[in-house]
Amino acid sequence: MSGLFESLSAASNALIAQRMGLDVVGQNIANISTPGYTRRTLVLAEIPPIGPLSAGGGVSVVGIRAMRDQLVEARLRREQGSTAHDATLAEVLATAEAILGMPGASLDANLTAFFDAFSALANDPTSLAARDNVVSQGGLLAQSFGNLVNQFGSLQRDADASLRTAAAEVNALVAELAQLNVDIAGSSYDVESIRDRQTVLLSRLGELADVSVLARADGGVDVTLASGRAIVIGENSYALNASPTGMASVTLEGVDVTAELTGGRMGGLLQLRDTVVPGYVAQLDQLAYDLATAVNARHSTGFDATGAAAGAFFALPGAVAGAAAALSLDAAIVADSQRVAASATGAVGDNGIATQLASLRDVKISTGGTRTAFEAWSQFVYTVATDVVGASASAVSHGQIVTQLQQLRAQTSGVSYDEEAAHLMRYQRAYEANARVFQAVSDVLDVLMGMVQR
Amino acid sequence: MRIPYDVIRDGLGAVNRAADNMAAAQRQMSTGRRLNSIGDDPLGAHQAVGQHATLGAIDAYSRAVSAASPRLAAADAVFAAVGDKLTAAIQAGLGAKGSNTTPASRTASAAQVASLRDALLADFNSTENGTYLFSGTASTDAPYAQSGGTWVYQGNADTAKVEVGRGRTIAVTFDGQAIAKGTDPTDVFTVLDDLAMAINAGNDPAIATAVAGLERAFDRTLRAQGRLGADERGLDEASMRLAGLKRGAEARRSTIEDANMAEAITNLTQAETNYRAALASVSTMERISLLDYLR
Repeated sequence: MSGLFESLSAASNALIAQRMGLDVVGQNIANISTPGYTRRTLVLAEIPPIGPLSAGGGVSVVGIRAMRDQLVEARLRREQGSTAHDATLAEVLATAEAILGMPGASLDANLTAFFDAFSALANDPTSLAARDNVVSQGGLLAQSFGNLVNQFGSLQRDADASLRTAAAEVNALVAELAQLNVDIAGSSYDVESIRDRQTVLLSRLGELADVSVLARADGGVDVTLASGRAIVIGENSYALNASPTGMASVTLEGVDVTAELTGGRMGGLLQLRDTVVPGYVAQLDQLAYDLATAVNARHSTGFDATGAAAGAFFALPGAVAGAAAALSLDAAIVADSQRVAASATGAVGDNGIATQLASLRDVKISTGGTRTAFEAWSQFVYTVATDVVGASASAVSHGQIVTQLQQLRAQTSGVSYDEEAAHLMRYQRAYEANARVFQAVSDVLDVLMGMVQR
Repeated sequence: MRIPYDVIRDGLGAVNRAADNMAAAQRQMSTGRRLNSIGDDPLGAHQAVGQHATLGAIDAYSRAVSAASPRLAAADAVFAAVGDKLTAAIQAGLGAKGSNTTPASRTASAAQVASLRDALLADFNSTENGTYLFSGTASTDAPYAQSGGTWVYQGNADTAKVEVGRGRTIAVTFDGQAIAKGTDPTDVFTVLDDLAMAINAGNDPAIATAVAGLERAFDRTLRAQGRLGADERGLDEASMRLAGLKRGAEARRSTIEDANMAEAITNLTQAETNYRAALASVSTMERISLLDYLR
């Protein structure tokens, strides 16, 4: 049979439990905006009766539980990586889009002006001004190719610099994750706040690179790259090293893992730096090379203003690779515009070559004779534009999945004002009721003690 | 099911999307362009490059038409003048034939023929914009000059042609010798010299021979003028065709690049409504909480 002191103790336990409930509500509301915070719930258990004539010992606090869904967390991490990958592509490709400019105001305008210059020379083959204009427009066209390649080069270098920053951030994250593993292993009480931080770090790591996370029994994590190479094992972390010179290659413990980094922001940056931008430059190289080859082939069969056999118009690069950057006018043409060939016969009034060169605008000179220069350029514009749209659409699509997963995560782990308000009211009422019980038992004890004193 | 509302995740995302749409609609309105970057419409951008290239080619052909037109007009005027002078020379030759002529009248006729020859030489050596019309592609050399007492054609038989359309060319220089000499053994200037000499000498057979030569030169001039007239008409047609092509290409370019303002205004209004709705919904959701009802 329990005594009044046991009743007092039960009421006291209940007061402690309800106060802890208020504490948990306060903690949840306080952290409603904290990134990675997982909603806490108070786990209560009845203290069972100690004998047949006992009502029970009240309530005890079993613990405070963090409401996590590991499956959703892992899925969210993967989708955040995909979103970061596509968002990186979309962000950098938006710059590529700006580099290309608008139709009629980019390289195509230079091509038009170049062919127009030969057309004007054909209209008046003895005009010195028309010859000067051909040289001027040829130079501007070559310069335009060079500028485009330079700007794509800048884009590559920017992607490389971002890659180095991302590698440094990965290193900081894995070092902190390893330290959290140590903290979790060494902690004798609540590790949920450490695991909240761990969730934030893993989320950020997932955005940077495609990683796999293996949970340890104690709540810590081991992390590997998607290829299986470990970057966190228990208390040990392994740093990514970016080579200091040139375009960075990334090594892990001396092994080149650049090709293995396909996901996340790093994967996006590498795809841009090593595949997308070089692909664009290759298309420009091909166009520049084809154009220069076709112009030279016709120009060198003609005669200049003095009636002498003409040479090349462009200084033709030796190979397709690098042609756009290296494209320039032949030195003799630059030195003297009289060296421009307009005549096919040697007669100064003949305009055969100038007419042929002006007509090149409609001749399929590019991509193995399948496209005109304008068609090759418009195809290039289309390629870049579809890449931009594709990356943006994919980023939006993955972003929507991330939002849905975040909502799914919030159903389990998110803090709700309404729910916390309800809990607040419940714990407050329960505390008040228990306090009344405590008061009642205390009053009974006072009566009893009063009887003893008499 | 627990559905915690997150103003950042749920509300701000919707507001941002609505703001993006409104900015895009506003951009179309303010620029008057549907295509403000190539990513707005990749296929449209692809087609727009083609239309700009087409417009560039049409403009180039139009400039060629403009350059050719005064040369053809000048050549036409020269042919008319040449025809007049040849007619006058033929009449002078025919008038000086027969027994009714006097030495004085023959001298006067011969002088008239010599004068006509000089005028004809000036016609053949006409220039337009600083280059000779009738020396083929040797357009910096005068077509005819006298050297050692004989007339020499200094040009060549080639002609410079300008492109006034894809695959359509118009000659803008002419082979003077083909008109002045043709397949005859001597050119028209030598014939005129011979005519003057024959008139002075009262040599009727020689006058008849010279007049026949002038008549053939006249025929050649007429034929050349006819061809030129056809080219001039072709030039006019090309000009009109190019104007039509330009209107078509410009319309296609406009369809691709320019905004339909009525549609843009509607889009902007709709985007603004959506934006206001997104803001209002966030504001409403954020305001309502059970905490407000706890006392």
